[in-house]
Amino acid sequence: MFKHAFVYNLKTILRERETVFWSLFFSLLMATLFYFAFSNIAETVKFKTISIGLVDSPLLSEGSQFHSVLSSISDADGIRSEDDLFHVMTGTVEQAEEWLKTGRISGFVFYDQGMRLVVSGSGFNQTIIKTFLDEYNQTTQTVKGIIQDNPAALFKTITDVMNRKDYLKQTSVSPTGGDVMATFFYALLAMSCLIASTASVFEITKLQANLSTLAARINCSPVKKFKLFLYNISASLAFQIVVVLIVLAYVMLVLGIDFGERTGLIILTCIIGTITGVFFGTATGVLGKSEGMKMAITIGGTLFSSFLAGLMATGMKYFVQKNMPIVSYISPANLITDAFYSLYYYDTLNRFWLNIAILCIISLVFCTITCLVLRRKTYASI
Amino acid sequence: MQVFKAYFKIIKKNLPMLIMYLIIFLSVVIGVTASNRTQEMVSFSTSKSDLALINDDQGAVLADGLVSYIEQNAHIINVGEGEDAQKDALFYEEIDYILRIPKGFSEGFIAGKSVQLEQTKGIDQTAGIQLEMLLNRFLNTASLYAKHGGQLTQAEIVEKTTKDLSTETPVEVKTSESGLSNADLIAYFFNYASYSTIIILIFGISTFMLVFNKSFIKQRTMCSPLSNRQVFFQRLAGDFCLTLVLWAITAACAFIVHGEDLLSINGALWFLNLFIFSMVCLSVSFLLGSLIKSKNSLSAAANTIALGSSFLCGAFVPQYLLGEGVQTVAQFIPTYWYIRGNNLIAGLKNFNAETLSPVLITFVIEIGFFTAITAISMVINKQRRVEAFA
Repeated sequence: MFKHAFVYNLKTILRERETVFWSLFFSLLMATLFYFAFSNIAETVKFKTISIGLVDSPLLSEGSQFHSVLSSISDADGIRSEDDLFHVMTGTVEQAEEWLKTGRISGFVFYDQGMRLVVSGSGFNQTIIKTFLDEYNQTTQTVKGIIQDNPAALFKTITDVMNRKDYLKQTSVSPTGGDVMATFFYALLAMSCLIASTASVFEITKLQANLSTLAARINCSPVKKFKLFLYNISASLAFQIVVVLIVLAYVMLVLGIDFGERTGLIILTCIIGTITGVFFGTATGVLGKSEGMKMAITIGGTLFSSFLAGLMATGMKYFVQKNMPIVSYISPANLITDAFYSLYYYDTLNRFWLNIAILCIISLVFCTITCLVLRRKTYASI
Repeated sequence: MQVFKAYFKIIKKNLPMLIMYLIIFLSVVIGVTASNRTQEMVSFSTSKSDLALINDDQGAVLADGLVSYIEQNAHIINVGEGEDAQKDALFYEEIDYILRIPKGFSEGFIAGKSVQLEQTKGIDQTAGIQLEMLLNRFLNTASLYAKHGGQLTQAEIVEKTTKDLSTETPVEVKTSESGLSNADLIAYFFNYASYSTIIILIFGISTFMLVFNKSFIKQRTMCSPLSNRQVFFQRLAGDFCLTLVLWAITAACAFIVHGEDLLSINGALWFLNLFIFSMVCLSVSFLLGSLIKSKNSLSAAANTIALGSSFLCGAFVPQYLLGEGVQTVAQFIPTYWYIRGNNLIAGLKNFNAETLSPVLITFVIEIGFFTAITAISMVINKQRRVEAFA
């Protein structure tokens, strides 16, 4: 019996070409869009040499102190190197103002009559320029101060000023590092899993005699409703899992998004996530009143949950985790996203299993609700 | 006006569904604007990085001095206890940096040993570099005093260093920003509103279209004395009313979130832009409703269009972050022009022909999209009618 119900339901699902097309096309298209829309983001957080203007002055001849200090961290001396902090453009005041207005430079510096910085707004680039100028002025002052107190230290002090030390040691928190872009794809996969709920609403329509004529016929058959439900839903589940896995394969293999090494557990997350989505749909299917309302709950619920998990803004998931921790343990998309995240970012698996366990509990609750409402429902007349 | 009236009967029946969509998607819009960190651009302020600080060398004067210097020049964020909390914060860019001052750092430093602070950088490299500069600057200055200042105590070193570091270069700001202080944030709200508008309208309008397009109902309507054109325009009028209500509600939400700032010419332009865009969404929904037959595919199509256009056109991710290729493609989508309009309005300060014309061009392009898409739906509608008889 299982084989019969399973195969025929699978056929029914696959013959609705429009639905098959959209469920697959939707996620793949979204993934592609994400990929192109965000391909630039990784660039924006990388440090780029800051362009600054320098207003020309006779005091700024080559070999002057400021010029040589600036040259050491920029291309002011005409030598460009990889780790330059600044790219210097020297010109008149008018030129510098024009550059600033058109955004070619982040700010420009007057050296004459006391050092001055002109910028067009606030930002890290501007702050870095200011920090550099502050540092230059302040070091001059420090050296003067020390020499005043302790003239004997003159020569040594100056050599030490030139030999600045780096007091920072790099450490890393995770073997994989971080990738902002990945979080969007985690949330997208979570959405692909949960959107299975809309399709499974129709699985209930196929079983409740008051909703469709097909169900009325099925209800006359000698098979127990619970069994039928399980058979039908496993067909639907199989289809949805395949869809999600295709999306996963596309994201991992074609787009090359890094999900970490634990492929088996990543697939497990997708499967559990889809199960949660499907039972969310069936529960809505038995509880909801009108078809429009059921659609609204499943689509709205899925998208809202995905929104909380960072589908539309990366910071959202963290915001929820920090300010509404309970929500992050209830919202299925947050749990799925967090499972992917912990697989990617953590060495240990405790957090991953916690997420999976909660997802299982949620699925079980939805499944129980569905069964309790479905069972023993008989119709005297339709 | 039978069709028009029938339209509202359907709306009445589906009201809970519509309200549901409205609540969910408008709360997305409001939620994201509310959680966004505000940045005002009135005068120059040094950008401060956010970092988590672990001081294992507590009690040492130098370490404490360094901490208070960091406090002045960066935001020390309390991310909660435990290593996991710090890792999460770093990944989600809540902080740019984790800094650990190891035990015995101060003593070793004064004694001239080679000691180092431990840093973990986040994703934003520029913020990290700024912090590095600050830290190295403090420590290099302190080391000059420790080596050459004679026999100074830790407290004296900290005092002298902090005093020297207070030297600041004067900064002058030449702005060309908008008169409204939080214009960017308001534009952000309106950009997000493109998502809620398009998805609510597609679900709303297309659901009704599905009802009217059921073949029995369609055949019955066709044999009525109403001309096809009348039916078409009455339905369009119904859609228009729905759109108008949605626009009013979104506008009301904008007022609730941003208040008085919207009572300005910029505000009026934003509302106008949203209105024109709502009309474009109306035409898109109408077209989709004429093309799609089943509810299930409608949901996928609606999601694809709404989420896809929002991402591609810069509603969720600012337009300037999108690659050039993406932007070129996006220009063929009306949402791009709506969002471009919003961002341009945010930068408006003086209102004259020269400054307003780029904004008006985006309006005209949106209206062009509206006209073209509506024309296509009319043709399809006519085509479908012929098919039904064939």
